[in-house]
Amino acid sequence: MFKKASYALTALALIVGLWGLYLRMTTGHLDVNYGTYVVWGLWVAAYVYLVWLEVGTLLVFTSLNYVFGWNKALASIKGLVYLTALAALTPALLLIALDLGHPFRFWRAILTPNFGSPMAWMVWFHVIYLVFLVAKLVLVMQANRNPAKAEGINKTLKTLAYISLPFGVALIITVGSIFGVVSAHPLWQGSVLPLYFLIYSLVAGSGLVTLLYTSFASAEPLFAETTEKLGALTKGLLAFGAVAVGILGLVTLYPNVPAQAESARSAIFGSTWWVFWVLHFGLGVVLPLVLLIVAPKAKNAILAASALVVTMLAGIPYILIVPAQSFGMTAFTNAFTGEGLTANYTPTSLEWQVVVLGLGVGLAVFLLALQFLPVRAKEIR
Amino acid sequence: MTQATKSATSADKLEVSRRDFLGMFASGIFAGLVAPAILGEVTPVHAAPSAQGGDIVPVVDLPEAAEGEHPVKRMMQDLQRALEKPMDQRKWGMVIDLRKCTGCNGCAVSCIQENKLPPGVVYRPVLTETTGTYPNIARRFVPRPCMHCEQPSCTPVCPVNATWKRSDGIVIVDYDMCIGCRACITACPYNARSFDAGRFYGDEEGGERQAYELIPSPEYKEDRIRTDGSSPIGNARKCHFCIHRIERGELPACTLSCMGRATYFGDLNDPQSLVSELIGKPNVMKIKEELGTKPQVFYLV
Repeated sequence: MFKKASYALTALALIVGLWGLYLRMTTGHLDVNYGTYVVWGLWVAAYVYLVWLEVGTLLVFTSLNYVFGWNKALASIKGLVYLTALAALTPALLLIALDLGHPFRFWRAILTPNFGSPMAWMVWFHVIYLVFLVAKLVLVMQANRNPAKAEGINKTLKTLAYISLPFGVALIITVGSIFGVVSAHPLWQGSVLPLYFLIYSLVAGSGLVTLLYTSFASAEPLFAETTEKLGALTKGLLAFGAVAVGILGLVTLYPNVPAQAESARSAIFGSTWWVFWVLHFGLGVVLPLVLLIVAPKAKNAILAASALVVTMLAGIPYILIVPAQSFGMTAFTNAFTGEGLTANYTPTSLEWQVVVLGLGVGLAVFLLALQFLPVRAKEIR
Repeated sequence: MTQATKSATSADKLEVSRRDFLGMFASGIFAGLVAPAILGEVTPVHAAPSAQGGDIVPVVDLPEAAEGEHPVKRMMQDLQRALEKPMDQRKWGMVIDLRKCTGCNGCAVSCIQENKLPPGVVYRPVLTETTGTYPNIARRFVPRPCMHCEQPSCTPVCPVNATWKRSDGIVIVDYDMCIGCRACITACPYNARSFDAGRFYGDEEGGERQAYELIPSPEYKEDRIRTDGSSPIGNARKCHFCIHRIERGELPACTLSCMGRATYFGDLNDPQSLVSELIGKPNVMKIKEELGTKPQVFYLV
């Protein structure tokens, strides 16, 4: 039943999304609302969220599995974690490519990069990360196909995991730096944002690893114990992230310097206040914390809490990115008007359709690989 | 009948006086605009006698008038002198006298006309700043072209080296290299870059694209015609000081079209140039100077 519903949802997302893709390819950037003043919109925000997921999942899993010795407990979801990261990475790359004015020139960032630009580093790290991820997934599938070779393959996997770990950290820091180096937007500028990206990534990652484990590893002998530990980890990281964001908010708002404070205020009290307060803070922080504190051992509570943490984080990149660009634009929007010269950004239906396409592609990658590839060991499947 | 004749006579008189007036007005404009170019010098200008026949009051000398030379002529000479030098020894800069800017937007319009800019792309908006409350209120107009910073924030963030600062100080974009990531637009603290989303005035009005939209743009001396899917559509675009005009010895469109003579352009490396003289004045300022980007557009306040 759940499987059928997942496939139906994927098909629906792909149908809606492919229409969006068609419109994007035929009308270019005519039916989008980002432009000269709000330069980056929904697609960039969705990209950032997906990068948090893809990197965070691997950072948390690799740390737990290889650094903290949870390898026995987490062995059954190894392939799933790599597949999930790939399912997040694929739409991330698709969305950011469609956001480009000239998507078919993306190769320039790889072949003729300006290494003085964080964006060039991001492209390179992302490509390297993709290669590592695919290699790890292939190796896991080989081990699952041929258990006799599993020991040797696991050693290679461990080496790859150690090598790819710094690339993951570098990728997330670089994505944060793309915003951190922008002196034009005081809310972004500085060394804090890249570190916060890392924190958010870890929160998202812990939530997703917990979600995967509680969803797919219930037959494991260590299930109850591991679920509880993962729940505790998610709770800890979530609480730490909430405190960190609280401190950031206070430090930004207290001096009341308009360039920073107004941007922050419009992010959390502006037209998208509900994204922060209802979706993120209420459903993504408070409710999961309550669930994890009240029922730290209950599988369903941990499952629900982790699902909420992962999904309700989706709006944060949007409110970090969009309101900061709108600040201080009134003089410009009054000086010269016209389409594309607005500071009031709301995503268009085309922009939403392309995001739905990303969702469909991610789900399709995950479901099809799960169905047809040996991502999980035979006895577990 | 008598009444009609009287009316006709007075109408004729009115007509004659209107014709005379227009003739005198046109002669005045002609003399003001063309004479300096023909004569090679500016004759002292005086205010017209008042209706009461009072004393002739001389117009307050303007900075460039002190030299007794028309600013356009002087800037043209500066330009010629600069073009004789190797490119890396020039440093183009602009001075905008906010006291003289009337907010007519003539510079913005001439820029659009010169570069064939589409909807949504603006190289030189004129901002309006209002301070105070009625009746103690002041308003000033601030044209905002690209600042062509010495330390630009926009160029290092480009992932593909599609934008850079030339040795003569002009920050440019290579449309064929630009991938349209718009990192430079976000990085510019002056909002001096635009994204060309591919709009046409004709499309917006629901009709066919107009002939004036399909004229090649002389930008970067490339004579590109904007067509769907090809650059500069999908690119970041910006003011380039009308390189194509400068390099053939002409002033940028905004400078030449400024009716208040509020915009000056020239070689900042030339101590004899008008712009160098003007930026030596104590009332000069730069926008967001504290960022350390060292804008090459100066404002006289």
